[in-house]
Amino acid sequence: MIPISYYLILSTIIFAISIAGIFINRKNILILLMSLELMFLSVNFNLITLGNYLGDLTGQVFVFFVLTVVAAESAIGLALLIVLFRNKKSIDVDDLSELKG
Amino acid sequence: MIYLALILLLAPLVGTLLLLYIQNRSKRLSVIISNFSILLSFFVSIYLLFLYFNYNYLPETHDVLIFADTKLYYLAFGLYIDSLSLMMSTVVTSVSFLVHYYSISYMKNESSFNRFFVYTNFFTFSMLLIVLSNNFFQLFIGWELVGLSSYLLIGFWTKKESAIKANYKAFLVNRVGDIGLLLGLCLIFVNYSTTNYAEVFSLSNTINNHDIEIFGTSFNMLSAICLLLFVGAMAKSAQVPLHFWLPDSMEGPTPISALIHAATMVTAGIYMVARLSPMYALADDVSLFILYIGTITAFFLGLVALVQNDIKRIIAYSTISQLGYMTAALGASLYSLAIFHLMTHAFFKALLFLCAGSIIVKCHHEQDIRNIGGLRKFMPITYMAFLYASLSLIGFPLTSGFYSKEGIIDAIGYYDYTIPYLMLLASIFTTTLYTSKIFFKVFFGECTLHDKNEKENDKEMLIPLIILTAPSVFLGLFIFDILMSGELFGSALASNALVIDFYNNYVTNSLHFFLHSFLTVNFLILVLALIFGYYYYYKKSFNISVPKFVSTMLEGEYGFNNLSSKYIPIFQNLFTKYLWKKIDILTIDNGLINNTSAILDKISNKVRKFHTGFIYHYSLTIISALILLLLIVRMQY
Repeated sequence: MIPISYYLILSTIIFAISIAGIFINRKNILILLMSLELMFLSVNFNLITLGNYLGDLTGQVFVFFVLTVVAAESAIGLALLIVLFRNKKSIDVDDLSELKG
Repeated sequence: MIYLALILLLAPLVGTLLLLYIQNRSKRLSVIISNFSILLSFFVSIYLLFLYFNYNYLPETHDVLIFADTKLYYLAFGLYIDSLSLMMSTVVTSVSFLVHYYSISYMKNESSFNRFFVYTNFFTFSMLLIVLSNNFFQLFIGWELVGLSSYLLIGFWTKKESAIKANYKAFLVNRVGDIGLLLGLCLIFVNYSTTNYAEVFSLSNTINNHDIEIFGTSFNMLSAICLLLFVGAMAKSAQVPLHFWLPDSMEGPTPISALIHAATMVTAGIYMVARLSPMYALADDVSLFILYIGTITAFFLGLVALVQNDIKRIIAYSTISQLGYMTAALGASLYSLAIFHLMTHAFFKALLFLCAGSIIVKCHHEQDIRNIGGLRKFMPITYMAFLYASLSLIGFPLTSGFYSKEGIIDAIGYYDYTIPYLMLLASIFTTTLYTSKIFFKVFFGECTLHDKNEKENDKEMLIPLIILTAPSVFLGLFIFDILMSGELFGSALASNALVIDFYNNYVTNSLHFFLHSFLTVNFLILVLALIFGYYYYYKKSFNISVPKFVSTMLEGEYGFNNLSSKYIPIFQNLFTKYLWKKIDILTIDNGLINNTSAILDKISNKVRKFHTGFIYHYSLTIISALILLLLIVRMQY
């Protein structure tokens, strides 16, 4: 049987990749949204693993809720992206610095 | 009784509020409200006086409203009803009412007619607050309100520069006195931890011998309190050296001068000392100081009146001098005589001022007596009223002024205060001289009116003159015996024994006092001064050349003129400039306000660099902060 630490390490790696995706990515907002999805997935992975490990179904059921929220969130994100593109003719992250103090 | 006394006190205040509400809507309404509120309080005080003496009420002190009642202190709004406060409020309201009535005609062409009555009603209210108060806290409030309303009234003509200067002066001089009063109140509060008159009196009997250290010298506690309170009285009652605001207060309308000089303002100091007589009677050293201050004021300021030419200023100096008599009587512990002179003086001085007002109106606001003359034929009623008031002022036998003033002078002589006695005798001469100066110059001599068909003023202005003549002449005779034998004030004033002793051994009764007076040196001085005045001012049969330095000294009021109009302003200028430059501009403007904004500007300029606008910077911050937080939480367990 695969020890639980393997699962947890995998989810941590995915999480780290997604964070790096947010920080290091300076080009495209689409990639940023994808990184966010990845982050959610890593968290879901954690939930399922630990739910199984502890024999508690709540964690696994909770994942469904998270997935729903994630779907809604990405739908909103994409809609915002379209509106943004209409106004700025660009989805470059570096162009979105209008809040600069 | 307490409810009636409340009506007496609050009627003028209600009048003020109503007048404020109706504004300039109708002159008629202003007149009705202002006059009736005072009239109501006059009737109530007469009724209370009647009740008090007919049913032998005892002095009553009553707290109506309690502001604070803790272990540390107790503050209340209360009334003190006894013969002294009732007599005083009767004098205040009667004179005030007559002045109000007189003002209807005097102020009829004034655009801010209503404002005048608002102020005068408020003035009367604040004086009544002092008179009826039963604690020091309320006394102080009334004291300040009197100061405020006199400030407003002296500067009633806000566009007249001299009036503005005069009210500023009056206000500042009174502030000096208020500092004394306030310090005295603080000492009372610290030592007796109560502000109620009755409690302080009973405590001051027991705790009066412990000392207080001020700047290394020790003072008797009670003396220190009395002295500080008297400084307040000196400013309000225009005693040397805080007297110089009073002649300038003549810049206000003439009815106001009558009100200030007779009933509502300058008497406050005298009244306060008399009210606190149980304390002053125990402080002998302070009493002696008061006696000398009073005598100096009576003599030296009377002299100044001789060289003045403005009719109102002469009467003003005469007021200061008469207040000196009252203060001297207070200093000699003859409290009931002081109050007696206060009452008679209130009536004849109000009468003198109202006469002066009607003369001024007739002469188209000419106040210099060198330019007024021969008014006797045109103003017979004013002439008669002025004559009686003058007789009362100089203390001609049988008039009110005679009984009160001769009483004071003779009693001071009787108790062997030699120097004050001689100075007061000498000021009989000056009093008579300046009175005859006004009298002969204004009513006799060449007529200066252009229109030879001039008639007397309106009847609103004449009726108060006629009414005031009665107490000016007869009040003294009427109450002399009951007052001197101690029946009138009873236990309200301390040291009654002194006056009663003087009465029994020297006066015996009013008739005897009257007959005896013809044989005294007082009467001789009076007659000499009258003859002198007659030949000097009326016949002009001889001329006296006064040495130059004497006349400059008198005209400059012993340097007080320069002091108040030159040196104090220079000092004040320097001081306020210093405050402006160093405190206001340097500390507050630049230091606190501008500096704060400059510092904030610098900080925010640095802080806003963090706001790059890039999402990944923000999210980096959020996540690193989150990690940090988790680490901290981890370290806790």
